[in-house]
Amino acid sequence: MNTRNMLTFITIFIDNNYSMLKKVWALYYDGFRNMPRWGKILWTVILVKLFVMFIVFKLFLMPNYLNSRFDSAEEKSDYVLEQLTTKP
Amino acid sequence: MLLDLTTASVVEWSRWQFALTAIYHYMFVPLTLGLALMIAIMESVWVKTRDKSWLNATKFWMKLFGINFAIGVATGLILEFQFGTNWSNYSWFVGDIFGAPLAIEGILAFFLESTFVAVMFFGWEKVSKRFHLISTWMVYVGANISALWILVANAWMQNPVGMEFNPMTARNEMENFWAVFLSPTAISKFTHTVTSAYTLSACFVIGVSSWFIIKKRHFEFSRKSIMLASVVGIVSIMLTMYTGDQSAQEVTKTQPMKFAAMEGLNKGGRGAEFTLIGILHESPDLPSERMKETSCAIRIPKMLSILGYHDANAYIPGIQDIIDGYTSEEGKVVLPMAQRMENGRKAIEALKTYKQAIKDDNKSVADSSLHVFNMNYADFGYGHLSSTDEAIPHVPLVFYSFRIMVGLGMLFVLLFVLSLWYARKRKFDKFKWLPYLALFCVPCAYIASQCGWIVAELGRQPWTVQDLLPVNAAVTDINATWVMTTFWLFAVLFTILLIAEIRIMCHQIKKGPANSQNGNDNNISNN
Repeated sequence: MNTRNMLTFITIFIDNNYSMLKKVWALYYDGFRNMPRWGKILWTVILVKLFVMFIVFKLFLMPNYLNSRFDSAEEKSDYVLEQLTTKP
Repeated sequence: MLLDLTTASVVEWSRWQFALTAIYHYMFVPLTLGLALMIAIMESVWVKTRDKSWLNATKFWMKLFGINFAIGVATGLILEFQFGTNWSNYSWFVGDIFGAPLAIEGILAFFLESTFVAVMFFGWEKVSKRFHLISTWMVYVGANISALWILVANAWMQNPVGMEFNPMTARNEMENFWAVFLSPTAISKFTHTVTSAYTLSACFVIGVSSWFIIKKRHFEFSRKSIMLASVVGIVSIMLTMYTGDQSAQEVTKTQPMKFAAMEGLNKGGRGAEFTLIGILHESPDLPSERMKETSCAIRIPKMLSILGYHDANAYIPGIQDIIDGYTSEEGKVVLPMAQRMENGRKAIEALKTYKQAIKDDNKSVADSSLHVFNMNYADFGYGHLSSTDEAIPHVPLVFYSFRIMVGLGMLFVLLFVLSLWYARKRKFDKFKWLPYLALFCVPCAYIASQCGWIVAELGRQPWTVQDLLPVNAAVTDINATWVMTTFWLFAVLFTILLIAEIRIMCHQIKKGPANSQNGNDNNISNN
């Protein structure tokens, strides 16, 4: 499916399901808007946690060792094979 | 000493980091699994009976579920980060097998939970009662399906089946999905884990309700919650025992060293005794420092054989038997450990030769080395051990954790039976010690749950993948200081999250259920 067909599909889908999508939007919008204080605190905790995990930990502290050192699957398998056959 | 901070190697730090993260992660998981079930049952009762008190109960416990879910969600991702950073050899070695269940888990969890959790919390009065109820059940199903895939992956590490190792890529490739998915280890691991999670949640609901009773608030709400949680608890703990028995039989067959460590059993035999309680200590008479002598032991004759094989005269190997070699109850000849280490070294050498022969385009050498490799692959991991001692897990931790788990399980049976009996008779608050016992059981349930994982994971040491890949070969060749730094960062992050959860939850518990007549609904005894 090329980009143009995809856009057409999405447009038709939205046209046919407009009222349903509006209800889904309202569900989330009203839910977040009328959330009690403890819910807002929870969302703050979630967002801070996800930021720390994905930005700080994943990007800076916990990179994928093999992906960061090797480009191809062959290089990775050669390296791991060497590790498995030379480690004591 | 379990961890010497000054001399710990990258393997030890990586193991500690993984253990820390897994322990914290599993603080959140079981309550999500079990509370979702009880919320779904409460809401079903409300939809069926139109009794508003059940709606009230549903909303209160849903609030606590939401707090636990929100704080705990995605904490497991740190474990996946660690696979890539600290355990890159392992993660490459198992890639295709481990990746598939985790990918399914990720997709299912995302779609089921993000859709239906939103309806569950935001959908009151916006969707029909029936659709809301279906959403609540779907949250329960989604959470449990997530657990299923994670546990299938974990079970494969305990009992690797349904795969073939590709010596060209150094990866295990899935040959039979159903062998992985329906392996007896996977089934017993999933059922035992989720039923124990329901047990923990039942303890939590009874404990929190008991706190209201101690504070003389929300009596009728508490009584109903205790009744329901007691029934769920009784069914769950019975299933936990049954699945634990299935799990023990599987461990006896596939991880005999773990089973021997659980028992502190040095020398096995037919009609082996089960040590109910005992004190482990070192003994100069034992051939290894890792083996321990049991003193002050209370033993049940033949019980270990019954646990292992449901046969009072079945043969159970001890640690020394596994090192020396033995013939299992199924008639399988298990080679002496020294021989398995020799076979493992042959497999490693053959793998190296095979790879070089392929590079040199030497077909005959490649074929012969591949043959040697395939003949010895079952013992591949043993080639990385430098002594037979390395194959023995930390016996005291496994031994005591197992007894704490089982002992607390028995306490929960008592709690559930008494709670159901007295709540039904409306006399729960008349026995002052019962609400306090219930409160005491909340942390105990978490301890029992963690002990179960200690038995499962520490008991299989030194293996990341049973018999195939020990931890020293699985770990990434990185600096221990780096892993130590991230260890402390995770410790701080997870401690903050846990404190946040406890504080927010305690605050909401103190507020109590919203529509319970200002906390003064009818006294249990007066009804």
